Amino acid sequence: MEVKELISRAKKQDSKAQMELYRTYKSYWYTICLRYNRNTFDADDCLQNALINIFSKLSQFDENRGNFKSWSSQIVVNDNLMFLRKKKQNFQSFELEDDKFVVEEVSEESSIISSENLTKLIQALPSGYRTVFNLYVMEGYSHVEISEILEISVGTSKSQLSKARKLLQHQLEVVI
Amino acid sequence: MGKNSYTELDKLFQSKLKDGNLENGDWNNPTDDAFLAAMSQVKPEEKSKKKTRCWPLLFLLLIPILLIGVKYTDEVNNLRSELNEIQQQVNDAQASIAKDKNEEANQLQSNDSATKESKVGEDAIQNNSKKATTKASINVSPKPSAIKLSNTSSKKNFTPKLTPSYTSVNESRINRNQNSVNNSGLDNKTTFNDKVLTAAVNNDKIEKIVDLERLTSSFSLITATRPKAKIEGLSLAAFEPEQKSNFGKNLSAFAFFDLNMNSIRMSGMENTGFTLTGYDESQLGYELGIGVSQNLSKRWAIAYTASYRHFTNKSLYQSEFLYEQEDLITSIDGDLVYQLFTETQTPTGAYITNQDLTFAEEMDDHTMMDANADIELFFNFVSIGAKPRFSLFQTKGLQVFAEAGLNINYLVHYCQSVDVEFSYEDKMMMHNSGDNYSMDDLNKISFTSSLGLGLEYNLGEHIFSSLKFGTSRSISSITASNNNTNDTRTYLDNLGISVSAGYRF
Repeated sequence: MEVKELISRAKKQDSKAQMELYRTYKSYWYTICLRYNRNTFDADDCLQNALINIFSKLSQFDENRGNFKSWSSQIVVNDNLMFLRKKKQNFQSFELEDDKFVVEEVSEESSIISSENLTKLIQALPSGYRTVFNLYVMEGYSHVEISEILEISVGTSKSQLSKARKLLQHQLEVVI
Repeated sequence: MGKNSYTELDKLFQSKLKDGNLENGDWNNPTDDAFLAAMSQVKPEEKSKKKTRCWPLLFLLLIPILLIGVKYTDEVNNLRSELNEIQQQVNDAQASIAKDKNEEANQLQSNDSATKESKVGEDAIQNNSKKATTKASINVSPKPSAIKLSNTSSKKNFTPKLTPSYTSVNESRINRNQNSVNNSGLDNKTTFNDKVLTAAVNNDKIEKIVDLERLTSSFSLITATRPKAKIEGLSLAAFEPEQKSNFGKNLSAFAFFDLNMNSIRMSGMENTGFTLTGYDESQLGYELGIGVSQNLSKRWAIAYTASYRHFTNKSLYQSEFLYEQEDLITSIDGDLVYQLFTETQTPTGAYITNQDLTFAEEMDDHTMMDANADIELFFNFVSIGAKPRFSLFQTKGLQVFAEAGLNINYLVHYCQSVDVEFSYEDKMMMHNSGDNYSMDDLNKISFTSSLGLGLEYNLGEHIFSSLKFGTSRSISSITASNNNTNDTRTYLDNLGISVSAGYRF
């Protein structure tokens, strides 16, 4: 069944189509959640919240104004940010954060630069670094936009990104 | 660390974690639990809830306005036709009186004797001056066409005097009488003859005019500016019929109890996934309320009610489900499990279950399991209604009536109790039950129309009781259009008997 038809049927609350739509995009959505959260428990919670919002707001989706993947990923990102906001109370704490950068054991079965291992590297970043890195590198926001989203200064955003890159670069050099 | 190396780093992450190049595996493959948990909390947009149709409410408000309008339109039309009739009668009477006057004037003129004429004339003047005065006292209508006369004999305790304003009116009438006599060829100077002519009008005609005057005064609704002339010793109101409307009177208050069989009507139900189709079992419900009734006319009345309604329904669904062994999975503990995801479409929304089938590994592949679901629904409403009533037959103590109406219902409590079980060869494979009290997928406001036929019996001067057979039918769905029921629209109907007792003021 085509995605277009799936969306159309899911909009009419067809549970089979909803399930099918979920199965089509679940890996993509879940990867986003994993990128923003250090552990899978939080990622699971974020995914559930995101699913509620995606299927609740599905009738708002207009295929003429964009594709479903980017529309839904925007919801997933927003839900992850909301989750972090609730967890951290506010993003000011990012500036004070200096978590230890510990990368979980990388999978030996796949290449060091596999999607799974790269995700683990991002997960290992302190949450402030991780969030800024995700927003800037993966979602393509500017520092000004990030400063507005996270309610931090532009300078903080830049410094967090710089630190995140340094840590990732170092880790990749070590691992490789 | 150079800028270029960061750009490469960024590109590496983007290429590996962005859309098309994502390497999928177990690490980023969540189970369906997240989806099932999410779907149980999904609340589709509230948008459609705002589309609550308000036309039934407007209709409800319009009913009494229309009825009152009809009542008064009829009344005004009746009064107009009566007015025309009376006007005609007045004209006829005027013509008749003028004719009689002329005849009598001719008779008097034929009398040759001067002395006799003088005597008769003086006596007549004396007698008629009294009558003419009396006539003037009752002659209060400003209508110039109406001849106003009165008869002292018909009002014995009545010694009226003219107020100045009415003197002029009567003088003008006397002048008109003179003109009519002049037209018939009489001498202008014989004024005493004129008075004689006026006096000669017989009592029957006077009474007739008085009656006409009474009827004419009943048009106060149309000619409300009628002057209230005061005559010493007499209130004109004595001549006027009661003008006050009965509206506001004939009120009664009553209490009622309705016992009814409830049933559910559904439309737009779609079978998606594993959906059970079944049948509906009527259950007993009740309605308890109070009301006021207003008589609008001899046959029409309108009742306003406020009530508490309890609606209950039971649905039994039966179906079969195909068991496929390939769907057996091994759990973490190493057991073989068959996870069954089912969605039962109930009248008020989907009931989703996700549970392991026990004994699944013992079953043969591709066997059919029996699936049964018992769904009980309870609704409690507070309801306000308007019911116009028409009396089909009435005697002094008994009335047969028909009524129709519209109710607006507010949902105050709801419960859906579901019991689902899967069995194979009398072996219970899965049993799941639960109650749902959430009204999120339901319309809080709904409308029902009603129709009834009943008997009302007077137990005393003020007390009455009634027995009514009636039916009510939903005209708006209890399920919200944005619920999870695939556009299923559910309507609540009932058929019942109602008893009431009341007090008529």
